[in-house]
Amino acid sequence: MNLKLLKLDNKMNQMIRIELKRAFCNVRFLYSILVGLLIAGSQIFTWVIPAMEKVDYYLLGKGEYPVSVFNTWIGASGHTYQLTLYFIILPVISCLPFSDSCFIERESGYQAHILTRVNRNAYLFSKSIAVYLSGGCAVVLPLIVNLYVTMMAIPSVLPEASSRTFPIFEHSMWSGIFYTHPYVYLGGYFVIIFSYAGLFSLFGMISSFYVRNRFVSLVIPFIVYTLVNFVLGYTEYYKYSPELFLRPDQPAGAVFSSIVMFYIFGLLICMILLVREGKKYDLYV
Amino acid sequence: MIILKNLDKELNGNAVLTDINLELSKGKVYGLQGKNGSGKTMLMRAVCGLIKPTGGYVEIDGERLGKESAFPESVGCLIENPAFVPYYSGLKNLQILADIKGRIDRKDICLMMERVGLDPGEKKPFRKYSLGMKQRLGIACAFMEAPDIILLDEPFNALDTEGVEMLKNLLGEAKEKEATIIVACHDKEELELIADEIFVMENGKIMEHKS
Repeated sequence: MNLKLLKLDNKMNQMIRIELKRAFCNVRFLYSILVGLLIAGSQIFTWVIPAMEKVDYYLLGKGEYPVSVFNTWIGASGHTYQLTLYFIILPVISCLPFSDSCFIERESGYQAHILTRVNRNAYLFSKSIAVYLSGGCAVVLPLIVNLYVTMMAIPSVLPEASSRTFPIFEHSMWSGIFYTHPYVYLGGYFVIIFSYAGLFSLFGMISSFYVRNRFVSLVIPFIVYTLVNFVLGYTEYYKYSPELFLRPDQPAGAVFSSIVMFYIFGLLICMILLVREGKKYDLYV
Repeated sequence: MIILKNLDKELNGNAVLTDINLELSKGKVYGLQGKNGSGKTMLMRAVCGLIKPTGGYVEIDGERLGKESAFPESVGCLIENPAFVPYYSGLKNLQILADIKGRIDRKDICLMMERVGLDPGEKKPFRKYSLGMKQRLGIACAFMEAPDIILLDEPFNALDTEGVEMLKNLLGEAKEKEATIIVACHDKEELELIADEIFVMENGKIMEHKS
């Protein structure tokens, strides 16, 4: 019995390795990174490069307060269309790399080959991990590249609340961290964005269990995300719309407890649906 | 040894398999003969654990499918159409499957592909393969890991004379290695040439047993 379990674990590890390789060494993963880089890269041209002149201006002693990475990179430029666009299409970027792989394998019949080699739960578990990680990376990597390029162009001047040039106010979530350890703040936000992007891509994979069209399965998370943002945007609960609380500049203020609660709620729904799918037996019915 | 005992399967209220009782030994080729919709494919799906019987059971080497194990430990199958990821090459499709068990390496896969008449270096994706090439890839997939159980559904489809000869050779070798082979085929003459025993199916039931 123990030997059997051990064998299953080895197969599970092997499946996770295979699926991760398929998710990351994949043209679609590159495409989604490119889409992200196109948006994040254009912000460098329209905002970061012009801001470099302000650095020189300050060095000449003419500016009141220096420009800083923390109010110039894409995550802090709330007034730029790039940041808005990035967080509107976030679920599309996250679903693009690998969310429809279950759908393709089911529709092509390839799943039958896999399910005569590994059990359904191991298959779904390894697929979920690969989908989650590839979705999270596809969204976060372009933001990190943007931050890195901005760091090379603009000094990392410690934010000063009194300067009123930074998007985070005193009452904003993690404002204390932002004004003392801004990179820790950004790291925390990257974790939040990564987690939600992974969740969206997982949701995309799960929705593919219930639809017969590959395109529909890819856009369902985007439709749900847009609907939630739209509906909440017209109520007093607008600050709970994911498009706003996921942005590092916190345009409507963010509440950490609600970010965690929404995430746990979403993850629970995904896990329930995954377990339900794992209990299904018949293939080709 | 594969035992199918009182096996029933219903789909949406329709009986697709009814009271199937079979005992299949190692080192033999069993033929399934019958018209379209007679239940041949469904029977193969039950043997490789892809469907759950409504009644009865499938037992392989003493282990019941769905209880002690989800699928046979060592099975190679070509059920209905050869099914692979459309945008991967033939080699990549087989490599992914072989990596799960890790029993064979890339060299073995290439050898099997050459054996069935495919070029392992072929870069074109599976969706651009001709019908014959797809069928050959399906055959390579079924045989590549030298499984104990081989299930082939209409394996002669789209094969030319050379392909049919190649398949017969592979079947002969697998039989020598004591594999249990089940072949479903609508061509009665072809089936009689390769099978040791033939079961004639109709409306989900075994109607005749020819030795």
